[in-house]
Amino acid sequence: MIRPRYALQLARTKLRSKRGVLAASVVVSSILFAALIAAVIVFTGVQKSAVRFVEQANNNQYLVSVNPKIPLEVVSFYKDGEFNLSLETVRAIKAFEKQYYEAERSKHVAAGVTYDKSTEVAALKPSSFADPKLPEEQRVMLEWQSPVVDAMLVQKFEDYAKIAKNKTEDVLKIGAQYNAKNYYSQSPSKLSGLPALRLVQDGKENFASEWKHETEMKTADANTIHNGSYGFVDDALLVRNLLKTDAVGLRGIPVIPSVQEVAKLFGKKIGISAEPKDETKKLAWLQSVQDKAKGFTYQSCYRNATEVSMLQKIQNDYVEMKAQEGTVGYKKPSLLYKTPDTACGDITIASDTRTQTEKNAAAKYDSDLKKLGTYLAPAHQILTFEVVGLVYSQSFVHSTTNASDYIRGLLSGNGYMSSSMGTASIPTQMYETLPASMKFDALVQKEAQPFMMPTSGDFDERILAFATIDDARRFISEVGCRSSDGNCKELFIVDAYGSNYLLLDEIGKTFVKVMTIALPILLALAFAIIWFTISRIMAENRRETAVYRAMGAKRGDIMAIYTAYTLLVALRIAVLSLVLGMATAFSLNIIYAPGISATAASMFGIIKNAPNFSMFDLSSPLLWAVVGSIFVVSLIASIQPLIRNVLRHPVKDMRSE
Amino acid sequence: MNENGGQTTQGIDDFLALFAGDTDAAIAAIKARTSQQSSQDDRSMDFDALSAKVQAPVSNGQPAIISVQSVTKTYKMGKQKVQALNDISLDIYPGEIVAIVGPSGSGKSTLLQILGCLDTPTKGKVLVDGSDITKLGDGKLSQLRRSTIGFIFQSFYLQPFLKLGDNVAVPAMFTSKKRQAINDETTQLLDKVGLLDRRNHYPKEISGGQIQRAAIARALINQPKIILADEPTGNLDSKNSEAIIDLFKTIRQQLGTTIIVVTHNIEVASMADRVIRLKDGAVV
Repeated sequence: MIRPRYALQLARTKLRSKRGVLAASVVVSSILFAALIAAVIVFTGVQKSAVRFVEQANNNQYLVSVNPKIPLEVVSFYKDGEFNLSLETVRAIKAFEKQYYEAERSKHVAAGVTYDKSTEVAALKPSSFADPKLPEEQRVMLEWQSPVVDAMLVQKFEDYAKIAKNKTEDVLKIGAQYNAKNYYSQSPSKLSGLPALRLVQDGKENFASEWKHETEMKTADANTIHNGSYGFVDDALLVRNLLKTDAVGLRGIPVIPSVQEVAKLFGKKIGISAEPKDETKKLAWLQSVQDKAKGFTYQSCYRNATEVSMLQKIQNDYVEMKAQEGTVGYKKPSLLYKTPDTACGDITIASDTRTQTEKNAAAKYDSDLKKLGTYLAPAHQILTFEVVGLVYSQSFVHSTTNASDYIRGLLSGNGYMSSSMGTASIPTQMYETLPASMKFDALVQKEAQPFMMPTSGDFDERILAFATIDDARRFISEVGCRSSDGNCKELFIVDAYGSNYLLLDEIGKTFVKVMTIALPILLALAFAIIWFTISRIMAENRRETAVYRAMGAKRGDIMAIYTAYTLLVALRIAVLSLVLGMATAFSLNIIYAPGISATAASMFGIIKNAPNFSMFDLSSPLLWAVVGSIFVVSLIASIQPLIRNVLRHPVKDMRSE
Repeated sequence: MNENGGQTTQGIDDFLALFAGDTDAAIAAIKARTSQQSSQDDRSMDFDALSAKVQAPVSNGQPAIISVQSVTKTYKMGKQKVQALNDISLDIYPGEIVAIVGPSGSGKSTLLQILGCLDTPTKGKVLVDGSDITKLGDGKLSQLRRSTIGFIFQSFYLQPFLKLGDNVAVPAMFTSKKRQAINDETTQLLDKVGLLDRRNHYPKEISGGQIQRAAIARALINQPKIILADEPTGNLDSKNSEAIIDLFKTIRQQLGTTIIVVTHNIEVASMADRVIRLKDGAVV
């Protein structure tokens, strides 16, 4: 048998024949494999970098938000997909209404107050849109302003709570089955926002300011201070955003607003420039905002419902008087309030021309409310907030317009579709250390709460912490539905929290799926190219093969020579593929990695000591599997032409001699 | 072709049989042969003048190194069978220089391929160095070729991308010889054929005569008992042809190698101990 070195020596001579075909084959195959190699290198780098960010951002935990799903029939009177109240529901409402009025009458009698049923707002009102074919009793619609409806919803929810299987205790029990190691809470503050809570700027309350609706999720956290929208979040969930972890010396209610809103509202005051568009400059900008905004305090004025009504009256009276200006015989309202002169000042009376009878009636009304325990005296209070952290208002995948946004969306997930979205976070444990005078608990307790979706206590959103992504994934896939599932019939709505690690995991799996399709296609293409090249080379060298056979070469010797040749070709393809693939990945890394690093750092809120985002990683075994496949494919591609070649009769190829 | 320049049916059949139905190859060969023939015809021998050499072999008491016994070679060409060799018998003894002559299509190359263990007869028996090649498998035949036979071709077939020294060493690469031994033998043979100073040259850098001398050195690298040369001077001028003839004589003299030459060249045939003349697949 020919020695390997001689087989290689003879094989090398074939590399010098049909150079054009060989070069074209090597280049085309190398480009195919280089694309594959570059994809593997970039993907490995991206995945590992993202995991580093995820781990640092989430304290090496995988968080899952769990929201109890309250059945529609508990919070609504309509059956799913129906526009008419059922006869059964109409009768139930009427029965409840009757009980309600009886209870109100008893309460008034007990308080020594005359009950006038005619002042009540009925729960049902005739509907002109109802189907005329329905019985008249059923041709009604709900009056959502009616306290009866509120009371009935409360009653329905209380009934549900008694039998519910999706309370906090259930969440924790189920979580334990999936190895959840901890849980956290986040909930709305119950502090009413605008117009009750109004930002004080330059020593003034701007009574004209209105709620800024978010036109897209990208700005979900960009108007929280303006709107007076706050939520409580456990400190542990805010670690990456906190600039201050020590509660000692707090000068106000600790709050974590968005960087963007701080820059917009207070930028001029504290010397923050506009947000740069360049991602690499953004990190430095964020650093500067952090330094300047840390410990910054601002104030908002909280006015209770009575004062909010008084302010509304000021506006309504103004509109009426403006409209009636010059009207003969028009009498302006007998009681006019005056807008406060100072920030969070008292609302005073501008003019009071009421008759004594009117004054007595008003006094009696207040007296009756006091007797019934529902009187709410006008009150306001300045609330001071201290910025103890910042969050970068994130964009989401569906609202992307550029690569940077896409990556943000891809990786983000903090507060996504959870109760904290659109609110500035107040670190719960830090808030609890404040003296009562700095808190707003008393204000909230005094307010007569309108009916709200039950969000407190047993039905608050919980954040479960898992040690591994597999446990988190298993919990999410087996317990409840994702927030994106509009037809959820389960007890819980569950989503990844803190970062979109599941999406990363999905991308990883998708990449493997894509590779399982792309790899065979590329391998088949490479196979065809290499097969063609080797077939051509063998055909061109038939005479030489016959001469070697005449010299005494066995079939095995010829096979050894061409196998060596195939391996030499494969080596060239492998080297060129690696060089091209690595160069491509390296170039992409040079061009995009700094920007993505900055994007990821801002998005994850890891401004200091942020890990680098690299798109260049050679550690994947898949990379070396691709390189190995070049040799395997080449060898397989050579089998058929090789067998055909060695089985040829040498005489046939020497005939023309 | 017959000696008057006309074609015989048998000759055409023999010729076509060589290509086993590959008509493109046959046409290409005719074209090549026609251009080659025109240059050779001037020097083509008058074989009748060599009738003295068409004689019985001289055994010197040794057994034949090649014994061809009633060999017939038939090719299939489509549905038609073509007989390239027709009941040939001959013996060749060690140390003989034998020229095989005959017109194109007479079966010379077929006979040479059978003698070189590249092909097997349809009928009959061929003993090469005592081995019946009709009973050997591919591996044994390869071994026999490697150890017993050296081939020299009209078109030389040196590997263009190997230096002369490596080209000469190629047949030894298929043996288990050690590298040093191969190097030493290559040096000796290159010296013997007067090309030692050209060891590191590529074939394109030397003349046709030098290339053929290198090809002869290559044929000798495994010390074969038999050299089979197919038109060894076909592509050479008269001066280089004479040099090759001298070289063959030297080889026979120094190494005792049996040399069998298929040729159209009268000078080559005249240096042979014996001339075997073929016509229409038979010895005449």
